[in-house]
Amino acid sequence: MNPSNPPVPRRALLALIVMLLPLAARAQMAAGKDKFVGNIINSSVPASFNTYWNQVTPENGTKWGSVEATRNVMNWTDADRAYNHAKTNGFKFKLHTLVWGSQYPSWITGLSSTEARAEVEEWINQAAARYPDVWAVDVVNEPIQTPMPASLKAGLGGDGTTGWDWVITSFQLARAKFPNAKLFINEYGTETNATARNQLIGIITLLKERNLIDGIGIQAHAFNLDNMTAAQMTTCLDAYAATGLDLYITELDIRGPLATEASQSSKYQELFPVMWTHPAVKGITLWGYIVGQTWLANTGILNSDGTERAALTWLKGYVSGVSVPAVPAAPSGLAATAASSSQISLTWTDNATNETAYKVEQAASASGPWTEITGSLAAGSTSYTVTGLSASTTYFFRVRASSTTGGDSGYSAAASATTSAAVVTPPPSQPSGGGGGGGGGGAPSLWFIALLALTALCRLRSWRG
Amino acid sequence: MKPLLPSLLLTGLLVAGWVIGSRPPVVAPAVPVPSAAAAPGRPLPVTAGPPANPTVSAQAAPRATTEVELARALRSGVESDRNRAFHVLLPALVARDPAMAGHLALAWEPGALRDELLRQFIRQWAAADIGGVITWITSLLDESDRRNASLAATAQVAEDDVAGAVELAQLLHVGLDDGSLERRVQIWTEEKPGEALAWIARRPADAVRDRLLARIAWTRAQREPAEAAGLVLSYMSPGEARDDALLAVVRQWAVRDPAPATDWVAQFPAGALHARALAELATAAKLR
Repeated sequence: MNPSNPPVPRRALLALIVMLLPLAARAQMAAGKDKFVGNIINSSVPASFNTYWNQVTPENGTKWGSVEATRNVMNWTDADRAYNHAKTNGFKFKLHTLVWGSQYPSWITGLSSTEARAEVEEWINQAAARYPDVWAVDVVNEPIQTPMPASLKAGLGGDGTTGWDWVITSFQLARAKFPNAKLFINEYGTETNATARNQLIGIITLLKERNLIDGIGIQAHAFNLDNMTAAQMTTCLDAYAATGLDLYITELDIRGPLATEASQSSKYQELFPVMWTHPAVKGITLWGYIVGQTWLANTGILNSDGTERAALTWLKGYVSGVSVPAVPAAPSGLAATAASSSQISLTWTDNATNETAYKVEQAASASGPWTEITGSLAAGSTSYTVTGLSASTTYFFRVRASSTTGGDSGYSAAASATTSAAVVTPPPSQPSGGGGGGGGGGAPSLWFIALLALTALCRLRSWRG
Repeated sequence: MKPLLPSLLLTGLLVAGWVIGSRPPVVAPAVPVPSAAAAPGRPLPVTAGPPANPTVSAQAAPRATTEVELARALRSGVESDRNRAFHVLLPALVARDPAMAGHLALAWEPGALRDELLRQFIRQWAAADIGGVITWITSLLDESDRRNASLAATAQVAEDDVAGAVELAQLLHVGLDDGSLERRVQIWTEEKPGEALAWIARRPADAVRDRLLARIAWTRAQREPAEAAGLVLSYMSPGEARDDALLAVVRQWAVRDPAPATDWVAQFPAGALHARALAELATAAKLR
């Protein structure tokens, strides 16, 4: 046997390994987990989609207004693209959405309630005929937060005896046409608004009594989450979990309260684990991920050049089970005080628990450019005195914590101070009288003293001589 | 004299030592010494410099290449090529020559890809030059193209200027009747209610303002129903739209806090509106 030529089974095995390597390298973060982490697809599938996500929701492609902008002319192009991508890759596909008070066909508002009912039924029939095997359907979107066009609501039964007859009718139509799909109700704003949440739970109870609902969609958008705490999120999830239904985080995006990369990452780290580890939550879908291509500005977590923002790096590691060191918390309360004409004292609050150092940066203006001036200060530092500054000059400073494993925190807010004016001191007086002594008031050097002693010795010898 | 000689020598040394010792210390000069590389008269290292005629070679040739590459990538049918077309090649062409990018989109054979190319082109151009986009859109003869492009431009502007997007939608006559405008204002109100309220108060009264005001009131009624009620009464003129907006506030207020909602309805003059408001109170009681 030629050793350089492996036998056929070995060669086949090698080929298989080579073929599988790229797949393994780009496995989604939730691959193999019992929950998914998905994302939206709009008019094109990002090349990096399969690197991260394993569930698909069309951003706009399966909204009624997108499909039937012109009455009786159905455009399934974007819907097909998202659906086919999900099917090709074995991802769960959710149809979003059948009934919603926005992005409906503009022609619907001119119809009578009877005509509107006929049209919405036709729309649901056509969607079910085209995608009979979808995993899930958002039947009604935002019943609390977004009002419905009057004719459509009336056509579906209006408030009726329950107060939500139009929602019940929508679910009945969906159950009849999508018998194998999970049917969800989807809403925003109930994360922090208990009144709205209780209203939605009221609707859910009506649907559950009629066996019409299988899951609850919690949108979880940035404008609700950015200033939300983990405890508030737990309260929200527990309230919905008490219905006994599966929960899905359906449109997650986060900017963070400061809308910076560090703030976004920090908020992800605070809230995502609460959602991911909650036993009732069965999957999480993000609403976009590429910077510049998200519906809310500053919610992207993958830069357009393909580099990951801190939130995505953390998320990937967290979900896939790889331990990712936390980024230290940013310091706050930076204060700068002029100590003299050449020194400014800085103090700040240490908010981090895992930092290994602090770094101070200095600039001549608030907009920079910034220069790191300290090297690394010890962990736990809360003050520093900047020296060697020019008199009567304003300096700006900012501080950040740093961790050898978790990287640098965000910066503190900048602080500034102006050094005091230089004190003009009179020149030292000339030494009075003659004799030796160091020039300029300085101490005489050793060799000078030695010479002096030697001179004295010579004079003494000459006297003796 | 001979014994005095060492003393004189030593005294001379002493004086010399005194003078040397009293000199100021040598310090580093304040102005940095120019580096050897930047020293005058020293030739700079030879690098691969620009071509002799950069105007021709750096602009015209890549532009042609970009167009060809873009068309090829769009036709390839491979997802990554298509991605590159929209996210790398098209932005490059739009930055260099938006008219050419527009020509390419309009000349493409009809279909979904053409529509997508047109949308992407408009969004990318609108991000840099909305004035140019508006002029270009108004010159389009095809109604479908104009609508497609107008929606894309509006969506792009809305990313960071909701008020601008509403004005643009009205200017271009798109998205006025499919709930899109109301949706934009609704999310704006969720995020920055103060801005949205100040903006709507400045707008001239018309039917569109009434629709948007009703949506702002709806959204605010979720958290601040009294404020929402005041908004409707202060800015909407009497009529069906105002009645609907008031009733929406009544219901949400009553769900949230029935007592003040009931008190408010009690102040309504007797008539159809009062009767409907009472019905809303009854419905709200079921929803609590």
